[in-house]
Amino acid sequence: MIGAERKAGRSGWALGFYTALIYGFFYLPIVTLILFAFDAKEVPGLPLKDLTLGWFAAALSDRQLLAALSTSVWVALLSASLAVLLAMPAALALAWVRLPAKPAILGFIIAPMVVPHLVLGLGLLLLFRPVPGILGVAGVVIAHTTLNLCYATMILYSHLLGFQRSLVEAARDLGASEIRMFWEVVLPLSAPAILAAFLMSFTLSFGEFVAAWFVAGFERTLPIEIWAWLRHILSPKINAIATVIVAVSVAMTILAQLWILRRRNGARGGAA
Amino acid sequence: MSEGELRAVTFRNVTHDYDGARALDDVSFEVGDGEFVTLLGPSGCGKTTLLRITSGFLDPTAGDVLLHGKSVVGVPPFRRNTSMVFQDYALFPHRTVAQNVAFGLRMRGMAPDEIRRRVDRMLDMLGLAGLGERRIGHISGGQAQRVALGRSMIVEPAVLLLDEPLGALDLKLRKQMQVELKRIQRQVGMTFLYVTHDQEEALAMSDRIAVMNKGRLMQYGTPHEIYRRPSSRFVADFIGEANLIPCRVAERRSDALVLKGPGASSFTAAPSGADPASGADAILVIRPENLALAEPPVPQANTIGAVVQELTFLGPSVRMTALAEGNIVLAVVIGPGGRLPAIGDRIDLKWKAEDAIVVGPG
Ligand SMILES: Nc1ncnc2c1ncn2[C@@H]1O[C@H](COP(=O)(O)OP(=O)(O)OP(=O)(O)O)[C@@H](O)[C@H]1O
Ligand SMILES: [Mg+2]
Repeated sequence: MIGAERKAGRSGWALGFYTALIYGFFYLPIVTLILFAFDAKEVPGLPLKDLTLGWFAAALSDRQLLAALSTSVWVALLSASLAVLLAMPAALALAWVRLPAKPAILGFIIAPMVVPHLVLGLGLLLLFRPVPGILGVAGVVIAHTTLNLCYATMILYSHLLGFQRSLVEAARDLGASEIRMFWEVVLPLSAPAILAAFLMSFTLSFGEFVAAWFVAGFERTLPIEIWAWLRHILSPKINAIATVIVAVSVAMTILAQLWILRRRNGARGGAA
Repeated sequence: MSEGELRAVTFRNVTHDYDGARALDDVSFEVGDGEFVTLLGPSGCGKTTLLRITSGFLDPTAGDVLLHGKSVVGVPPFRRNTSMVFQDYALFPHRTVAQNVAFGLRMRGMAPDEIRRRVDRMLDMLGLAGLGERRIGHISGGQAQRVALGRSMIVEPAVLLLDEPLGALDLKLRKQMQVELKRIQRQVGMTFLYVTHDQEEALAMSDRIAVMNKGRLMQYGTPHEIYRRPSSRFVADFIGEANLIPCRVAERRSDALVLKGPGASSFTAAPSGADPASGADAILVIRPENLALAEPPVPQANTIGAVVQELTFLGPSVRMTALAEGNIVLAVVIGPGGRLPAIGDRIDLKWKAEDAIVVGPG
């Protein structure tokens, strides 16, 4: 008996160690980044002696940094919205309509996931050559919409595959036209998946550097701005702005999770 | 008004193929206004297919469907005056009970005050008063069943289609809901086209039953007709319990059909007008409750000798199985007060000619 317990204890300890290792691997870079945002030294590095909030003040009053941040937020909002808007009809058709070449269509939609961003950026740059005016925010939005589209379509597609089809039929049966049925039933019940697709797209666009760099022209998104800085100086200002971003994303994720959980509890079960 | 307009639903030679596989084969029958008609048959016989053709989710490959005399083939579900109660109820989980029931009226653009009035009345009738504001996830299975029923009935369809609506309920609730459903249907006088593969449920609830097998309509009639006068071996076997005795038609007289049974036995049965030809193989169908022990002197006609195999006490009655000539196992129900033989006894079983039904061997 005692032996068995000791064994369980030891394997529990190993599991704990393993878990810590995995989480460390994921979160150590982020923790480091946040930690050095409070470093009072000009060039961040160990030992961490004097702490300050000064870098936050500096970052948040740096016009250039804030302009890049705002560009990135706009690009992310636009490209995520566009991606979701385009992905929804595509996912509906893929999930619910009998299409002759469905595997081929799915393949074409997933393909951008495995194409290096470098190739996409270069391709778009060549494509935009006749209309150089597009380079800039519009160009980055187009590049990021392309990238987001495949993820958004896959998220919505898998959601719609599992959608209770009898709900759609019941709405139609009770007199709802296709459009009413979509607004009254499909859209509200797809809200969590749409939110997930949107958040995923937003995050992807917000942090994307390579494709954006090709098509941004003289415009600077936040990753481009940070990259430009890093070429001459490693300032804790960047840590500070990154910390703000991490805090905002974590808050957004938690809010989204809470919202989804609340909805699920409200609508739980039914006859099924 | 022509004959057809009195019928809620008319199926004319309805045939349906799924990618070449035949699911419905030349099905024709009519459902009268206010009737409770059940589609009954084993799994895969095409019941759901016929219901979906009626509701407009499928179009027949051939044939015609008429609602109150008007063909509806090609008319989409939202323009059809039918309503479906789904097996999984398909209640909208993001809406309250009242909002679910109101859905169809809202789609029809009815004024909110009128909707509220009708919804309240419907909830009252279904015993759901006070549950209107509940979320769909927070009601019981039986209540969900009634919400689904109310949501479909409130739009006053020409025919209400129900696909195994009690299938998800446990036995006790199921029995209770059978009575409830029948009461509601009678009260509002709505036409019900009901699907089940439970023959007891069909017999208990229906005005008429359409027995189906492998996409074909085997027989259409009242529960009484279906049970007492099955037109085929399949129907006899599928509805209730039946003893099937293989025979050969010896003679077709105007007043009786004479049959040769196993061994030297010979039986007579009432002619039905659709009997097999003289010399043809046939099956004699006798319900267990119509077999009785024959006391000596044993009559010549309509008896069969057997050995008692098993006796099962059922409470008011006893169920006996006996092995007859030709290795036929017969089931007999002996009512209260009847004499009970012992296992292994040689007995003679008799029946009345009018209780015997002759069907083809197929
Ligand atoms: N969408 C479909 N595609 C191809 N074949 C189908 C489809 N739906 C049903 N079938 C086939 O058609 C036949 C009839 O099916 P249907 O669903 O109407 O049977 P059912 O009587 O409702 O059976 P159950 O009691 O199991 O619900 C079956 O053989 C089934 O396999
Ligand atoms: Mg079915």
